[in-house]
Amino acid sequence: MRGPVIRLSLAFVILLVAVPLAIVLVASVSGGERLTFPPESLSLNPYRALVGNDEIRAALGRSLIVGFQVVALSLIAGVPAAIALVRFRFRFRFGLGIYMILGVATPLIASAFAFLALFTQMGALGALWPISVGITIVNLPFLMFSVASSLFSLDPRLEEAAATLGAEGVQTFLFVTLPGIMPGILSGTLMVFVLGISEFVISLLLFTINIQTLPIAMFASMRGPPPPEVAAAAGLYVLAAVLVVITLTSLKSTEQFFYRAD
Amino acid sequence: MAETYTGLRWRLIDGLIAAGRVLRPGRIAKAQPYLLLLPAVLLVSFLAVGLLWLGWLSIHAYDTFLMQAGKISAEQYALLFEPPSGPFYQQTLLRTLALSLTVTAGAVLLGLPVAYVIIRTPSRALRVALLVLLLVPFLMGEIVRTFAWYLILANRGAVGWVASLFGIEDGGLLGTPIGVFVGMMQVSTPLATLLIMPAMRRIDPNLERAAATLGASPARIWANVIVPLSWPGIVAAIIVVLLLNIAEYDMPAILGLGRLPFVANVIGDIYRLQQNLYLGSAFSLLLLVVSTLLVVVPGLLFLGWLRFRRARRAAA
Amino acid sequence: MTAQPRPVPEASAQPAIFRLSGVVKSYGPHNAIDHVDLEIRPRELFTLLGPSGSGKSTILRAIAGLIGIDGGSLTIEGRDVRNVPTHQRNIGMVFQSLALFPHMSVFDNIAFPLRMRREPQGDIARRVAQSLDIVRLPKIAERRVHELSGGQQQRVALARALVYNPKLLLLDEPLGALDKRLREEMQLEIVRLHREIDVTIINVTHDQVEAMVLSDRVGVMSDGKLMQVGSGEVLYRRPANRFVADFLGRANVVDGTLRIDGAGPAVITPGGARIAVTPERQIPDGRRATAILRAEDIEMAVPGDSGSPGLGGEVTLRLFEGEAVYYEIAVPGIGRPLRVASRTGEIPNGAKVRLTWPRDKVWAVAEDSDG
Repeated sequence: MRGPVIRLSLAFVILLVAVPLAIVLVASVSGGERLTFPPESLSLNPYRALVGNDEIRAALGRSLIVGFQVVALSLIAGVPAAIALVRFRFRFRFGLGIYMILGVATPLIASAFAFLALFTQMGALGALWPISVGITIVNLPFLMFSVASSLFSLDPRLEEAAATLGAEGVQTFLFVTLPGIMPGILSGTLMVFVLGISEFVISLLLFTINIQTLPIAMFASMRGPPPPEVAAAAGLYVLAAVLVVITLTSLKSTEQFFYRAD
Repeated sequence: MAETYTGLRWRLIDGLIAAGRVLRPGRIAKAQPYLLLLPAVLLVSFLAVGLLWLGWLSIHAYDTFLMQAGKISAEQYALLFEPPSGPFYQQTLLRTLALSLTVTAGAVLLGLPVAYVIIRTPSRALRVALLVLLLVPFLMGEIVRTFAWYLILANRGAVGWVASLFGIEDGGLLGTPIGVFVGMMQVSTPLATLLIMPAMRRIDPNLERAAATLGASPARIWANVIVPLSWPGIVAAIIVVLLLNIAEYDMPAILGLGRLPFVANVIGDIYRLQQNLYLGSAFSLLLLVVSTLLVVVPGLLFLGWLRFRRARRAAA
Repeated sequence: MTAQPRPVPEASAQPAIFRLSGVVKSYGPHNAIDHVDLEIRPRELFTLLGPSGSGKSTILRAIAGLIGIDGGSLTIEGRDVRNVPTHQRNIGMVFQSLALFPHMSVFDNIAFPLRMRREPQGDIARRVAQSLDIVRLPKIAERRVHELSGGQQQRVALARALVYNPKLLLLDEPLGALDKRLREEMQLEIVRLHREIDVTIINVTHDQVEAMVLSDRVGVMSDGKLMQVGSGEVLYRRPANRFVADFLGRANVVDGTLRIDGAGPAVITPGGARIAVTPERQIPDGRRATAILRAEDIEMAVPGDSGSPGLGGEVTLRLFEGEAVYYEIAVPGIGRPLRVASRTGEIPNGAKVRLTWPRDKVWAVAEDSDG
């Protein structure tokens, strides 16, 4: 268990994952006109530049809107679907389950191009909602898995007990089922939110010049030497991801989800 | 819970109950799962219809000069497969597959020991710390990962700085396959680890102890106990990581400086530069077909076979 | 071993509060409940006893309406409840996993059924406190469920199922997962509750001791069928078939042919051994029959001379069990060794012994009885 091969692999993976995080965070507080390593000095200039850059700020705003739209769509579609697939036995259950993960089983670029072709035909390009719809579809399974796993770990006897105690279906759902799967809904929501604000490929094909989201704006600025405000934006993304992940793991259900998912 | 039954909440609940009483006697009860699935089915149909639309577009001729669609023809597929342009597209596809496979292999090889440590470590702190570390790259977004590796690999970045300490100038790794490979590994390895863990979690630790008492070396235990019992997780990891990498865009574009384009880059260019939805559709569909035939179908068949074999053994 | 001598209402004295007739529940070709008829009397504590998979929990779930039935009828106080949904049946149920709501306090758990019934708020607080008193758990109302010990959780689950005064309380093996001491404590608790409040209880268990200690009557189930219903003593002394005999206590079950002659009725084994019995009902002479000998009813003696009465045999196994010594005796003419529980444990392995028993304690049933 504590063999040298395992230790070496572990150390390598930790470096592989942690070094980029550290670099981004360091770069986001570096002074100087250009981003270099090691930074010339430390300052909060990149974040000031981010606030001062109207274009980037607007892009950040759009990304947040997309994030919230993705969350709303995912909840409306994903929570009832997960409940149906876990709690009911019905015809086409297997087929519909497969259909739900279409967005994950299709290479992202092909999905993105399918959205492009469809929304072009519909004349919907130029709005934010097609981007949100596309992002929701490819990330929907994450929310559904999360809700499904908390449904699986919810004792079905709880709902039966509620019924024997006199609760109608509606009351059983509101007072017993929903609180029981809330951790799963919460972690799924957080996941699709951060995936939504940071999504790139779909946005790349569906954006028009006046609805750039933040990842697109960052990509565009990386064609040349990236300006400091991009580092600040990247720093914000890393902080958001770390924050969300720590929330997820403290929800405990996530640890169970990954650590003993069966 | 509310303490009186006159509040809005209880009125709402009573209303829902009453509605349920009205609806239930009909066939609603049987339709319930379908009603619950309806929003999701409608949502995903954007993708399903989009993919069908791709198929329809891809079998049409397109005049790139006049920017006009023509009759039904195999013209787009001819562009993909026949000279003069065919070799470029095929080379791109092969490059995409080759690098994706390399990254997937690396990610699974590294993911196995890391998954093992997370599952077998007695320290909860280490387990949680590793889980946090593995989840962050997945949630920080492709563009931020690319940006981070850009800062590392650029000539004036961390690698170049380290190289300059050893007196090497121009030590950047931008534009090399190594750069793209390392960048893609950052998210692939955690993903592979997370997908291997559930299968590995089911291995009884006593099996390893038993093998050890029977004289098996650690290498033999891995080869004969841990890896065979982790197959379901390994296959799931291969499928998901390959699917993710096959559609990679940012890393080849930025870290590869555009010198090593992936299918996604070429498709993006076809649309952004040529405005050609028809050729893009054909290439997208080609990628979908290749990934389905090479990755999804064999992977699922293998998983099904593993399950079948386990069921048969359990029955025996 | 036997039930407390408590006044058991006679069937004729009061109409059944609850009746199952010809109930069938099938899963595919298999009948999980196979034409079960059962009447439960008011204020009775009835136990369904059987091995796992015998259908006893399925019956309970059908009574509660958690599963539908495929045939037969279910009436509570004369009203057919087949089409009444669970939440309107006004039945209390305690599950094996207890199914306490983990996200609620003890108070909210117990208040839940009252709130579902839209009871006035003032009543709720009073009745929750009252029912916590009944299960002897005052002052824990504000605690969370997971802060309670296993025994406390059991009591809370009972309080929750009783707070709305259901006519019928169903216990689906709630004691099954407890260790021995706690289980005995909770058994006494259930008996006490049953004496103090006006409730009819149907209990499900695979533990024969629990069944006999707790219940006014016990129904033994096997493979979806109700084998026999009666007091614990009747089931033990007069089992209707070999399954019931085997399932309760330690019995020797010996097949043979019934002979009624000058020496009285006896089962003669194919090997020629003669076992004096009291036959069930009227088994005709010459009929295939099964003799049921309780291990503790067999008396064992070292023979002074071979002319003494009873069966001769040889000790093949001797195990000291504390309160008794367990023997296995090989008897010529009987295929399997007879099992004997003896208080005098002086006889060594290999000794020749003679086995005798009072005729009235050995019961014979016709072989075609189910089992």
